[in-house]
Amino acid sequence: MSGAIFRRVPNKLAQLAVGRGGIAVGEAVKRANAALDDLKDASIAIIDDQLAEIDRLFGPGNPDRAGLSLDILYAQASQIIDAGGGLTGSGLEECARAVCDLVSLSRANNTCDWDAIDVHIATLKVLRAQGQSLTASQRLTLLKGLSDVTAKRAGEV
Amino acid sequence: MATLRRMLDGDKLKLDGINFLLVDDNPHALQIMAQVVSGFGVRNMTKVDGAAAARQELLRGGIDIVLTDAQMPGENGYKLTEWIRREAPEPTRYVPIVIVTGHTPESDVTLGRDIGANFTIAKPLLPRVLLQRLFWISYEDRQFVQAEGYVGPDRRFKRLGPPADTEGRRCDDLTGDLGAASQPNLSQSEIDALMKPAKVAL
Repeated sequence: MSGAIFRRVPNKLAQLAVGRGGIAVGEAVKRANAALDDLKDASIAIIDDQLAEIDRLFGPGNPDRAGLSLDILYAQASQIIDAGGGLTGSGLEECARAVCDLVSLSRANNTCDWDAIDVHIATLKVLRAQGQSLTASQRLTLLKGLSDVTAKRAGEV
Repeated sequence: MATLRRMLDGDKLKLDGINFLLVDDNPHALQIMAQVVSGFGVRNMTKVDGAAAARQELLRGGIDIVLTDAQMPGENGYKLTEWIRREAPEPTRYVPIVIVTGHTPESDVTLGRDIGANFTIAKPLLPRVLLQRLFWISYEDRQFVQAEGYVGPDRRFKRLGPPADTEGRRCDDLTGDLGAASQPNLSQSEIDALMKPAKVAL
């Protein structure tokens, strides 16, 4: 291929979604949120299951945790993010994302910092129990603490 | 270049005639995606649990938009996007693609943009965020670019990066090898700043 070819291509959304009829955006969002409410209990159950598994496998209580792949922790944190909408405003999904950050950093640097993992797991548990009742600034302080831990670890490597 | 305006509650979209392909290996996440788009009035959706099944559906034809998870075992959402843009038959290769991801380091968002995804959305999937992107896709008039190093919607952004197969000269130029993510997650507004087309001086 030599040079770049620019072309107009068919966009069915532009053809069908725009124009007469359809539903108002505000109404569509409302209906979608209502549809999501149907999944809220299932989402919370998944979050609780994953949290329990993370604590069981990667918490300080498991003497064999060093032998586990952190990919498992990444996958479990990802499932909490997927279901995070079930606990809106708890900060839980941001914390789970911080876990993914930490695992990614560990992979990239080929290290594993159990102190940092312990802090993240403890924060997940705090946010699950009390995240929705904390103020935004309290949640932010907790999450900022996690990103500082990760940043510090990154700087130390 | 298109101006992407924020949708208003009174704006209308008619999605009941659009065929959605939803891809996620996590059954609950797939169900969330399906619930959200059905709330938008979508009647035609195909749900699959991985890239291989997605490719089969795409080869069958008739898909108008793809929403795919980024992190999937085996072939991930980025590989699927790359396949659609470079190997899928026409007109499937032009289909709009929205990548949905739980982990949003800048390197991943940039990768999604540079392999031809239209938008990247951070999980958990929020209806208003997804609908805004569908709104933009419906109203955008970006041209489609086919070049040696890039196939996808025109992505003229503030920083284009080095040409394909070169290392670049700046310390922050990305190479083709993504490697493991080692940067913090981006917020949705930071993702948008990377993904939205913007006017540039050429």
